[in-house]
Amino acid sequence: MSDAEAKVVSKSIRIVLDKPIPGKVIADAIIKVLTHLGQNLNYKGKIIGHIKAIAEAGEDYIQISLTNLPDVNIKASLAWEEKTYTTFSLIINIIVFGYEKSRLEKLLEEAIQLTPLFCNFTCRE
Amino acid sequence: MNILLFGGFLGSGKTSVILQLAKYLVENREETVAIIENEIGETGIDDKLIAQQGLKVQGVFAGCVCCQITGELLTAINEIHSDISPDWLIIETTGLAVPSKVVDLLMNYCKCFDSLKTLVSVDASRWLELKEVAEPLVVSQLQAANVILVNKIDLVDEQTVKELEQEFGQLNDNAGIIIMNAAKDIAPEKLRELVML
Repeated sequence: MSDAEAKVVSKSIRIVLDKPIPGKVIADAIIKVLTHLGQNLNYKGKIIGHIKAIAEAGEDYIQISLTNLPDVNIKASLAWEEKTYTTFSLIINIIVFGYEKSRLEKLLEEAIQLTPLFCNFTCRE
Repeated sequence: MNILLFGGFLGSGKTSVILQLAKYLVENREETVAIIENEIGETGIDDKLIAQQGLKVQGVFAGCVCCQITGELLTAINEIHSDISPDWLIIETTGLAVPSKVVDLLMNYCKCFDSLKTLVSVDASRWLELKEVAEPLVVSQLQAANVILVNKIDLVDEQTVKELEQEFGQLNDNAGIIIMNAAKDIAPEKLRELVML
């Protein structure tokens, strides 16, 4: 590991879709982003820090966190996976030891670009 | 107003414990609870999760309350005390905080609480790796605890749990140790133990 201190990167966006998307699909997309980050930011399979995201649409929400590859931890409102959404806010926080902040930022952008749901529709920060 | 200060490394399960504890205090004991969430990023995530559960939460962001934004923490505590005066104020620090510095801050500069208890959670499944990378921080967190919560025990075997209990007992022989899996329901008797003064 190249850097002994924790670095913090946050991204906060609002996603507006052109058709309703099921909450489960959004959840899977978030897991894909977190997994990409985790695969590149782990130490012996563990995240020395945490990688977290929360998507909110009114009273509905899903929070997903990653500390141990490959499993994510999910907390969600009861309705999230059954409903569909045309817009939601998304916050991703990465706090990890041992990597430069620029690396975290680059990986986060890369992860978002690799996830069609988060880059084929209008994103506003 | 009694203060419960939650410390422990990032992703150790602090918020998961707090959500269950707050629900227990409100529903089982009919006591009032307010929560201060400190997150080091500019935007919080855990405060939103807590607010979605219908709990009163105030966020303190963009820094760590143990060293960077101490004034903001004191202001938040005083505001909560004067506006709500809850039975319990739960403070969740960032995972990078040294709880003993927050304790010193409160003991020296805050006069509005009746008791202060420090609970520190530890992720049993990452302890070895965390020690390899950030030993001074994680050890200092444990040493500040009145109670150590050994969490995520479902991810390790019984022998590992026993070894961790022994190691933590040596690091802090004054702290109580409670083992748990906060991803599932925590038994009411354990929640009761967390708030025993």
